[in-house]
Order: sequence, then structure tokens, then C-alpha cells
Amino acid sequence: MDKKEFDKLAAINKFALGEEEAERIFARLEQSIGALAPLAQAELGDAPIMVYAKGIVPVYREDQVSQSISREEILAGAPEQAEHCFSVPRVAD
Amino acid sequence: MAYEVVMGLEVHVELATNSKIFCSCANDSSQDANMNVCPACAGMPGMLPVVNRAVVEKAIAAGLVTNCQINRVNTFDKKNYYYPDLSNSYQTTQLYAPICVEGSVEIETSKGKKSIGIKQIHMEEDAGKLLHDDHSGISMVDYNRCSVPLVEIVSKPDFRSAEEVVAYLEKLRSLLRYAGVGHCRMEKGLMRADINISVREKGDPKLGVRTEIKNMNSLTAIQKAIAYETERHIDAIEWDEPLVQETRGWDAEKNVSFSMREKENATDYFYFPHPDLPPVVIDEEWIERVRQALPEMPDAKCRRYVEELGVKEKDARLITASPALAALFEEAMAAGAPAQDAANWIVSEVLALSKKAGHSLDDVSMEGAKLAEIIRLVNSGELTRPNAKRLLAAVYEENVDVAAFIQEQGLDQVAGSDQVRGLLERILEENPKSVADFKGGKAKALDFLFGQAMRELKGAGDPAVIRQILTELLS
Amino acid sequence: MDKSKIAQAMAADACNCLVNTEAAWLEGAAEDATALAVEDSIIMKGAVCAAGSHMLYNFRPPYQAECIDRAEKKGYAVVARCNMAEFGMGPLSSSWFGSCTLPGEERLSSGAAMAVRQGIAEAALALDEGGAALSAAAMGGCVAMRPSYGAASRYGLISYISSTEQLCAVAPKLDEAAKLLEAICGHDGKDGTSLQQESWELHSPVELSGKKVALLIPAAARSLWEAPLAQAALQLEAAGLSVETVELPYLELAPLALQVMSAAEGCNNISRFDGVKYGYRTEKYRDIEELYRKSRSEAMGETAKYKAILGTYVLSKGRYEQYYYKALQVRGLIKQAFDQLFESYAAVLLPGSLGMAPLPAEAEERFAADLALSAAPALAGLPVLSLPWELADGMGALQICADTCRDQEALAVAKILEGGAN
Repeated sequence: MDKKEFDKLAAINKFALGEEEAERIFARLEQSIGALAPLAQAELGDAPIMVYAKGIVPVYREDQVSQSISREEILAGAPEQAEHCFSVPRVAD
Repeated sequence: MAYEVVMGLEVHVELATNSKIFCSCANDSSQDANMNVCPACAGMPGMLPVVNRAVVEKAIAAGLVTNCQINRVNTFDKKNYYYPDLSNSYQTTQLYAPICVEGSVEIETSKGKKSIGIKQIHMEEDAGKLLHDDHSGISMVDYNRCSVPLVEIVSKPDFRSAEEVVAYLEKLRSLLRYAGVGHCRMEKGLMRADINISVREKGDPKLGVRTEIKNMNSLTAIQKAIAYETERHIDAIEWDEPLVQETRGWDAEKNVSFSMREKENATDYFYFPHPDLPPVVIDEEWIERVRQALPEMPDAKCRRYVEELGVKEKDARLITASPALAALFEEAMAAGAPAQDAANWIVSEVLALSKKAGHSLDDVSMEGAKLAEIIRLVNSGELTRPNAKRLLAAVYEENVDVAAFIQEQGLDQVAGSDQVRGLLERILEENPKSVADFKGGKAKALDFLFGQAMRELKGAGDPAVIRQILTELLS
Repeated sequence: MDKSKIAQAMAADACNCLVNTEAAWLEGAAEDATALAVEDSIIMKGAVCAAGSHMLYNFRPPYQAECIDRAEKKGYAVVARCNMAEFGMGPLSSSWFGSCTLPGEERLSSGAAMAVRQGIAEAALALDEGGAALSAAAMGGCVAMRPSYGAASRYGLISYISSTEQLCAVAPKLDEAAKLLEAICGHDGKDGTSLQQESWELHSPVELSGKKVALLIPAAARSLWEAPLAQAALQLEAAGLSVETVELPYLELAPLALQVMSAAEGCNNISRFDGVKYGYRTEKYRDIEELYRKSRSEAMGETAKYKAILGTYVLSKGRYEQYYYKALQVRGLIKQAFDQLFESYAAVLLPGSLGMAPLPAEAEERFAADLALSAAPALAGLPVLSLPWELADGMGALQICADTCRDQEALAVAKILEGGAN
């Protein structure tokens, strides 16, 4: 990873890093990516991927409405609210 | 230089389920802000998604009516980006293994029939809504619509004209409404289209630069946008100006497209398989159950109306385009109305009434039995045409009782009865001058007497018959 | 429970193991209930649930984790919430509430283990990520048991590595840990990854004589663990089992796969913490971008940021196939390798830590090294027990794992070794 990509990914994750912090994190990342090389280079052919643990079966919910939490409870932790909505600075269209 | 416009459509359809896709909140974004929200769709941690069975079934239905292959095992993935209307900062969708692939929709335009290819249909969740308040400089976030179930229907780039796009959207809407997949009310945002458009020289196998016009929910606006964007592309090509691959919006007031952000496939969404949602596994029996539950589809219905019921093709097309109209027709027939009569009345009178009321075809809801009764009364001569139209309007607007309305309004006075004759004789007695004028050669005097008669009769009675009797009495 | 003793222990806490704990819980608990401590990632309705992070410092969820509901039904009462690494992502020193240490020392430990060790609770629930909670418990002198993946509902847990994390029970003795797990395990329709099995009888008798146990020692752990594991083997043999040293194919790739998956899933699990809906929001911001950036940067720790950036790296276009896809392949291969192993062996013994509880200076290094030892069974979703085991320089963690849904086997083998830390 080069510095340019690091900055881009930090921005995508919505981080504004201080200089020293950025240096420390970048160093850690360089190390980790280096350590991951054996994985990146491993010849695994078309071994199947395992996304789910063994024994997981499809689960469905019946199409019924049930409302357990009130609007007040949902908004209770909102840092800013207006007219029963979460409030943020005006977002560009 | 001859140019060809090439388009592909991504249509988002809100599914008509009771609850949302991954939680049991009501699927109703018309409610007061944040009334149908729970910790899961409001982006709180620790909540786990569980798929709504009805969502899978409607997605299967959508696949069946568009001739798709149903993927027996399909999975969900996370699409990651930050935006305030996305409560989890990711949207759950299907990238790697969508539920349906490789289908088609038959359309018909002025140039004939054509098959539009469907690349895939996948299930996904909608995001919330932002309400902007420029006065206070804030945006208010409402998560009612967050996690509302959608299917996204991705077409192949088979469109070559705005006419084809409109025909496709109308056909798709009809198919999906019949199948009960969604209400597809574009004006309510229940069905939205993103149009991918590029222009190339006719004969050039390569595709031109592609732009996307997002979130179109009006057929008229779509036609304008396609025309505008095509011209914009052609201008750029002819003037050798750069054309950016990007996402654009449509400004319905200024009738121009405007740049929004860089086009989707330039942005990285860091997709990966959703670890909390097990695969959806669909067996033959499930597909068969959904197939059995489907009603007669519009094309088959239209054919049946024409071939078995003798309805004119043009009328059959119109009626079967909307399940509400088709239902009205079939109800009327079941109550005894002859097919072509029912078709005529619906196509001319009912449609006119719905247009006048500003209703869409899908809003028509009249009792077919009442329509059948009106037709019977007209055919037997018990009701004149004008009166029947009055009655129909009253039934359409207020669902009046047929017999009661006829009585109250006195519509049941039959032309040519002794009562009418007596009334006409009286009018002649009361207007000796007009009678004399007529006999003296003034034909207009008859119109005057006729007018008097119609006023007295309050519109009841067949005008032609009344004229005839007057003429008879005057000779 | 002895309420006054617990209250005293809470007041005397020499570990900084408690966070967001309200006195009312102890006061209102029934005398005959079993005192339970839960890690700060386990959601309790109305309590502050911060998962060790400043980002959630004031977050009081209006809902509750399934495990707490079930534990309460079976006679447990929550009296305390425990300190933990921020979001479970790093060494125990990454908690915004300050490090949790061994009593009166600077060596790091977990809030759950220290709550139990100091008598604040009789048992504790922690969310184990890749084996970290298990090894922290054992290095802190407690036993810990993590059931097969999917046995205990993940509903109401502030997630980090969704595909491999599982609740674990921390207690002084195995019987107590097993009892707690029995109370909370079982199918939950609210969790799509929940196994179908309704009840888990972990104490069911298991016939072990004549069975074989495998010894798996990664190269990095050989010098430290060869002798201690040999002792363990002797104990097992004395009980009628035979012990054989084995190799596991792809073992060295397991920690790398876990690194990749944890980064990707972790990044995604914390992206919902954006200052919009709840939790920390920065004070001054001009637009939404500033709101996001400042809130997340100010309130999240360095390890969380590092994980998130690594997560987007391994998922980015062009890298997904190299890293994330391969990680999932390795996961499958590891599971396959274990499947083969369990055809001949009832359980596998392996080291769980590369030494005793770490000093703050070596926290990062040891965290990664210890995870490397516990990654393989975690990836495979196996049930794992963790026992304190004496090493040359102090108390280490010994892991015993068995095949999925064979939790009883792992427990039975562990019981033979329990208390035999010398």
C-alpha cells in the first residue's frame, strides 16, 4: 500500500488522522500486508469458499408486522433531532 | 452521420409485502417519520437480519413472469458506503448470486414486436429518506423506508428508443401488478428507473461512453430525459468534447440533466458475502407453488378475450393492461354482460370517468355487477343512453345503488309512454305561437318546443323519440 | 449470592474490570440468583453498552441480548458489566475505559475474567473473537468455554467478527462454565446463524477410554509449550486416553485468513457508528463529511482505525480475490482438515497463548501471536475450552477443542485436565 492509497482508504472510512497517528497506523498496515503475503500468494486452486459454519440452514420470517419499540425509544439516543427525525447538516442533492 | 442510442434499464420495484425485508416493521413509508422503525433498520448494533419469506416469493414471481431462470441457491452481500439515509452504512443486496437470471419481456411498439433481455433480478433493501430544510440548514433523516424490500430488475442494453423504454416500463408494471409483486405506482415512487445511456455511430460494434440518469419515476420525464441526454451525447461526439462516465439526475423544471457523482462502477463498494444471512435455498416445489398462485397474465388474458370472447383486439389490449380494469370486465361478464358491450362501456365511458377524476387505470374500482346491470337496462330499452351515463358516473364516483338512483332521479320514464305524449301535447297548447311559426315554415320553432320538452322532462326520455313524437303531433 | 461480599469486591476492584455498572442491579438481584457479569459488548436494555469504545459512551439500547434473557430465566442475575478491548479488536489495552489488568499488577487481563477472579460475579459472559477472550480468561486464572458456532444466539451482541465470534462462559470451574452455557445455548429464530439444536446437554456422559487425543503444536509455540503439553498428555494417558502429535495442513495460513476476515467484517460492523443516530457526535461540524470524520476520528481508537483501513484494503477491487476470497478458501480448507482429524481423534489439544498475561509494552505483539494460535479452531467454528496451564514463567492458556456439535467431548477431556495446571 502506498501513501496515496492509505490516504484514500482513510478518507473512505471517514477518518481524519493526525500526522503521528497516521504514521503509526501506516507502519502497522505495511507490516500486516507484508505478513499477509503468504496468503495472497498461496496456490489454492478452486478450493471452495466457506462463508457459513457447518449446520447453518436457511431461515425465514413470516410476513407479519410487529412493532416492539416506540419512535421515542428509537430517537432517544439521537445527538440531534428535529421533527421526529435524526438531524444532520443539509446534505447536497 | 447516423447515430444509434443504446440503453439499459435498472428498475427498482418496492414489493407489496406487509413487513420489511429483514425486520418486522410495517412496510409503509407513507407514515409519519420514523413510526415504522426498529433498532435493526435504524442501524443499531446487535440486531440480526432474518429474511421475510414473502419477499423471496415475490422475487420468484417476478422471475417467473419475466421468463427468468430461478437460482436455486442465492445469497446476500453487503454493499458499503456512507450516507445518512443508509442506517447501517451498508445496503444488503445480491451481487454474487442473485435470485433470477436470464429472462425476457416482450414489448410492442410502432415498429413491431421486440424482446428485451433481462440480465438479472435481485432482492435488496431500500434506504431511508432525507427531508431537506434549507431554512435551518439541516437534513432530517426518516428511516421508515429503510429496509423496505425491493427487487431490482436489470435489463440488457437492448433498448434503441424512448418508445421502447416506455413500452417496456408499461409492460413490466402490468406484469408485476398482475403477479402481485408490487403496486408499481411510479408517481408514488414505488417503481423507479435508472437509465444507462450511450450513443454510437450506427454500425459501430463498440459502445460509447455511458451515463446514467437516476431515479426516474415518470414516463413523460423519461421520454424528455432520453431525448435530452441523447442530444447531449451526440453534441459531445460531434464537437469532439469529452463525455464523462457519470451518474446524472434529471431536473424536471429546467428539463436538463445534471451531474451527480461519478458513475457506479468507478466507485468501490467493498462488497462481501453477508455473514449473518444464510443462503436462500429454493426447491422445485416452492417455485411450483408460486407459479400455481399466479393469476392469468395480461398477454394470455388478452388473447383469450379476443379469441374466445370476440372482443376487439384494441379494446382487449387496453383492458388487460391493468388488472383493475380486467377485473371489472370479468366481473361484469360474470354478472351477465355481453363481452363486447362490457368492453365498449369500459373503454369509452369508464376510462373517461377515471381520466376526469384524475385516477390512474389501476385505481378504477367499480362493482362489475353494477356495470352489468346498467348495460342490461340500456340494451332492453329501459334506460336511455344519456341516463345510463349519468347513472354510471354516480356509481363510479359514489357507488350509488342502481335501483335507488334510477327512482330518485326519475330516470325510468320510458320514451313514448302516454305520460310523455300528454306532456308534449300540453307544451304545444301552451305555445301556440311556436306551433303557428312551425306550421308557417320556421323549422327552428321545433327546436324551441323540443327545448321546452327536454326541460320539462329533465333529460329523461330519448331525444330522438321525443323529436319524432313532436313532429308527429305538429303535422 | 452474597450481596455484601460482592459489593465489597466491586469497591475493592484492583483490576479496572468494571464499566458502566449500576449499583441498582446488585441491589435488585434476588438472593438465590447466581451473580453474572457480562462484557460491555453484550446488550442490556437501558444500560450503557459501549463495547469498550468512546463512540458508544452514552448508548442505552432499548432492547436486550437473547443470552441475558435466557440466563435470567435460568436463575442468573446480571450484577456487573465488564471492561474489554475496544470493539474486541485489539489488545486489552485499547479500551477507552483504560486497561484491565491482573489484580494490582500491570499485566493485562480481561474484564470478564477479573470480575470472576475477584468474586464480583460467580460467572461471566464474554464475546470471544478468534480465541482472545478464551486465552485472556485462562491467563487470568479462570476457565472459559466457547460452544460450537451457532449454539448460542448472537442476537444483541455488538459484533466484530460476525462469522466466527461466539459467546463464551468464564468461571472458576468447568462445571459452572458449562452450566451457564447450557442456560443460554439453543436455537434462536432471531439469529439466522443459529443452529437448529434446541437444547445443549453439555454434561452428558462421554465414553472416553480408548479414544485418541491429538496434540497440535505450531512451530512458534514449540519451545514454550513442548514440556507443558507433554505433562498434559501424561494426565490424559493416565485417564485411559492415548495422545498423538499431529500436523494440520494449512495451519500457518489460518491466522492470516482470520486477520483478513476480521478486518473486513470488523470494518463493516463499526461503519454504522457514524455520529448520526446515537453515540458520540463531535461538537463542531460544518457539513456531513466533517460530522462523520471528526466524530469517528475523535471517538475511535487507533486499533479500530487500523482494522477498518485494512478491512477496506482487503475488500477493494482487485484485492478481494487475493485476500478475502482466499481467506474464505483457507477457512474451508481448515475445516476440512479438522473434519479429517476428528475422524480419528475425539479432541485436539493446542496452546492458546504464547506466554503468560502480557505487559502493556508487548500488548500488540502478544495479541497477534496469541490469535495466531487460536485462529484455526475459531475459523472452523469448533467448540473450545480454555484452561489455565502453568508455563515456565507464568500462567498460560491451554486450548481443548472438538468437532462441531461435539461440545461434550471437549468438556469431558478438559475435565480430566482441570486443576492439573502443575
